[in-house]
Amino acid sequence: MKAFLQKSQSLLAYSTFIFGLIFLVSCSKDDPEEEHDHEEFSHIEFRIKTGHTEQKLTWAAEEEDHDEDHDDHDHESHGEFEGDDTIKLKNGTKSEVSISIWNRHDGENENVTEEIKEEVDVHQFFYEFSPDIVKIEPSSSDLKDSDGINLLLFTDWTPSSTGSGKVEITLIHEPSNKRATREQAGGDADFEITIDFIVEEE
Amino acid sequence: MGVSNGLKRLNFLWKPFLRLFCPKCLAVFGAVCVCDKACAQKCDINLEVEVLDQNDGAPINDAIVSTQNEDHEIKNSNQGTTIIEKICPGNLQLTISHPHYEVYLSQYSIDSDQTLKIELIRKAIELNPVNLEQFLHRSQSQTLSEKILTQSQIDAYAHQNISDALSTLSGVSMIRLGNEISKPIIHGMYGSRVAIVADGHRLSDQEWGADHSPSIDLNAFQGVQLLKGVSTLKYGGDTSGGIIILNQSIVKPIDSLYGSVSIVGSSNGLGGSLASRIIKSYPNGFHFKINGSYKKTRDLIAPDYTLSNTASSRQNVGIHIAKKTMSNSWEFTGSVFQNEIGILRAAHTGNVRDLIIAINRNRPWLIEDPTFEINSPSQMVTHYSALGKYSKRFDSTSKLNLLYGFQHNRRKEFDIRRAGRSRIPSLHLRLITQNISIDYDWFSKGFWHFNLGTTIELQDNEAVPGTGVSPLIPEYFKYKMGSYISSTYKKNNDLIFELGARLDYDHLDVKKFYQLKDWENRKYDEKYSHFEIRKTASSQILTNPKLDFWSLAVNSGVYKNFKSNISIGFNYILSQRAPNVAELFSDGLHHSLATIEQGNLELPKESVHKTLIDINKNSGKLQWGITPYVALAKNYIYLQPIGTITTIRGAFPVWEYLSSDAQFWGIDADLEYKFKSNMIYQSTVSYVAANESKTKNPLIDIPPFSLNQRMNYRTKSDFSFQVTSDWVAKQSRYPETTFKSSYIQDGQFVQTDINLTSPVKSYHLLGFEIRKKFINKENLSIESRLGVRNLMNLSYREYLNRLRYFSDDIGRTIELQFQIDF
Repeated sequence: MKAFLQKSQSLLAYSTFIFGLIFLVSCSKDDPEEEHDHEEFSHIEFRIKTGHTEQKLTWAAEEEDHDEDHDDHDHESHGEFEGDDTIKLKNGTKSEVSISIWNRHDGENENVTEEIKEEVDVHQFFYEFSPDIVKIEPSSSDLKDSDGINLLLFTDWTPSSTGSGKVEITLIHEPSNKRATREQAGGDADFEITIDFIVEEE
Repeated sequence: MGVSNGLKRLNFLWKPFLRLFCPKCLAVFGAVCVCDKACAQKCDINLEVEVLDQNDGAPINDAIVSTQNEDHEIKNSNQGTTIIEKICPGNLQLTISHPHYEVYLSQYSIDSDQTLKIELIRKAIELNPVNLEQFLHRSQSQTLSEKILTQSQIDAYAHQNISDALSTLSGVSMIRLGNEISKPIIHGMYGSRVAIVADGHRLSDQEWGADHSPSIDLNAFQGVQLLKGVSTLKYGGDTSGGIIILNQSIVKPIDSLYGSVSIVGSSNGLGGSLASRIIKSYPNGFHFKINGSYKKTRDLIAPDYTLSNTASSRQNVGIHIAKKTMSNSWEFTGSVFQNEIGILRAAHTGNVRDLIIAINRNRPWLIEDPTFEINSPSQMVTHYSALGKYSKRFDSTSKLNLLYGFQHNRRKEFDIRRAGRSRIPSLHLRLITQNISIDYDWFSKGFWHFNLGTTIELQDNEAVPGTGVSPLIPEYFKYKMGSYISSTYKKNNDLIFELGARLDYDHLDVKKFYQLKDWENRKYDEKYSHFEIRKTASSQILTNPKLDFWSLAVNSGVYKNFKSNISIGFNYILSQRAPNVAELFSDGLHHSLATIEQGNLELPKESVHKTLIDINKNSGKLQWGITPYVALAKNYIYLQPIGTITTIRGAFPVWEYLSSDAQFWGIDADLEYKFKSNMIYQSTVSYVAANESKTKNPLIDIPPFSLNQRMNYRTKSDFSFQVTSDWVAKQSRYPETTFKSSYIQDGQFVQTDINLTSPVKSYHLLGFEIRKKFINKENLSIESRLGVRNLMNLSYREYLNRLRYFSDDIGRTIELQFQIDF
């Protein structure tokens, strides 16, 4: 046991030396670079032109912390519209709707729409209405992919009756079937926004 | 008959006399009597012989020590020491034999009482690796039975990864992301609670994530052990699951050149792998080994469709140089491991709606012709490892071991991105880990063995900039220091006590950007204002959390072997673990599950009190072992969905690291029945259940009940046939984590419940394996193996496979392997 204690002491001495050495060489990290997130969209603008009237809706991404209430398992947080939050349409009247997507960080104002246009072959917009009272057609200024399928970035909306509801607009990345419904299209969503709409009498 | 019996009874009178006339004794008698001086001396010399393992200096019990005079043949049992009494002066020829060591033969000149220290060399049967299991695994756990993978089992998984091989052991399951990414779960615990130790060096490779595979190639090792109990303290006190030990083969100090080549072709994925090693050894104890492996597969195939973008490639190169002598030894090991894995394309989801669509489909939305090409989403991991070890033996009872290890792990994860950014990793982490350990072994003259030591770990993680995505894991420095002592009291082979303790100190120095709103909503701005550095123009706040944790581990065990060949081991384990960086600071989107993963800065350290009883019957035709266990965890940390959050991409489930008290209980069982010496039935059973203590809600990611059976038949002509049956039950205990999602479908506003933890159906997989040795010569053996997994091509999904929402598991797989040893 005596030999064991003697050996233990030498081990302790070794350990102390190495511990000391580690602390001497220990240092702190430099401040990391703030990462500019290119994949997320910060703002989406919808321009709805009905006759000579133009309406502009801007949806700004804004996350709220989900942690405010741990007991609520279905809470959601949203971005929010800056100003107007309802698309106003006229029954039987065609409205031209265009979408532009922006990534605004640290004063930079990156127009992501150009990326979407450049990659028209691997992107597709989908529109789903509830109630389904608005007919959607590509506008003349819309882009087509190499198979002649419209991107639906620029669209004409024509309501068939008055009422109000919601429209879900989704941009799908790499869909496997662009002609299918949102359910069957495959791919994954780059963005998905639900907007209130109202159709009034002309 | 009566006279004969009477003569036999008088053997004790006349047999010693007759022995004097045997040729050997006459020679000794003559040699001794020619010397007057010697003849005049009395035969009263006592010789103490200590028998030690040349590799690690451990005493060897049960060695047979004999002299040229056959009267002296003693089986030692007392810490490797034998005392031979009443030896006559002169030359003494000593022979020591042991089933697992080379026979020792030497001549000594004896003229007075003395002590001899003899070091035996372990047998190494390089040309027949199947037998390596007998001695490769030196028992490390004294009071719990060790579970090992034999060389033949390792060979059968040459084309798989390490977790697949480990899951054949009772009590071990896998959590997976597809077929190629998997990690072991032991008794329901995984991640930082299960350590992998290769060549005495703990693997550090971002092991926290369920979607991270161990960065190590099983083909580089010849032995695998699963350890629990006191013997794990040397490697850490935070491994409440257990420790997986990977060993290299033992090399004999002789002039030799040998090696092996393993070639595997697989029908599923039309893949193949090649693994080879070559070893050169010298009589002075110097040897070196070079090993390498390469594996490539194209997209894997489920029974009904191709799993598009599941191709993978893996390569590993390693070198091992060592010199081992009686008094000291040194070794250097270096390796480079690279793994590139495609992740099922259909599993890359944009939001919870995509996930719901995927769950409602029976098939992936993208099915293409199989290809070797690996596209996004994918992972690429490169792991460099360098290890230096030095051992110095002060005397036959004590030994000092020094170890320095360096590991460099680079992880890149690629997502589907726009504008060519898919080629830029969305996650790029570079982790450098350095370990220093000093440990000291001491064998007392009595029954005690002590092992004590100190370990230091430095970790530097860099979230490499330029990804264009906020890093999931922040930059950090980590210092971890620990000291431990373990002791074993072994009165004999039938009664053993073990006790050990370890104290660890963890210091984390993190630099992380938080969203300012998150920081404030969680009230971190009030509690941790001293961590704040500065706010940025983009509504973020740079923080510098510095956290300290002290952790204690205490392990104790007792083992008793009864005369009925039944042994009982009892172990109590206290394991404390500081929360890891992912649990504290994760913050980001996982596309593979469309989940946002969030850490929790306020997590306390986790404590697990675990009790195991290990009962084994070790002889006869029927051998079995059962290990029931109970674990009570305080502040057990786990990742679970807690709700949804809506971003501009849509809604996402949020998974957060939670902490609560929990209870685990379960049982592992092994059974082996030898119908004949060449016909053996084996089965393993594993069951584990876990609850939150307060709510009694089942914990997430707990493996379901499983029963694995093997029937093996072997002929004398080196032919063997094995049938396998693996049945996995439906998990009936799972947490209800239902949340609602609403969307528009067919003009209707639909609200759907989604439960990511609901179980899948039970399944039963059959398989078989045929082995045939074509050449079995002294310098060359060639064995072929034909193995079939999922023989019935069954469509099934695994509960702990995180891609179960998107696709079936892989279908029938036929593997043809040639193992050449030379």
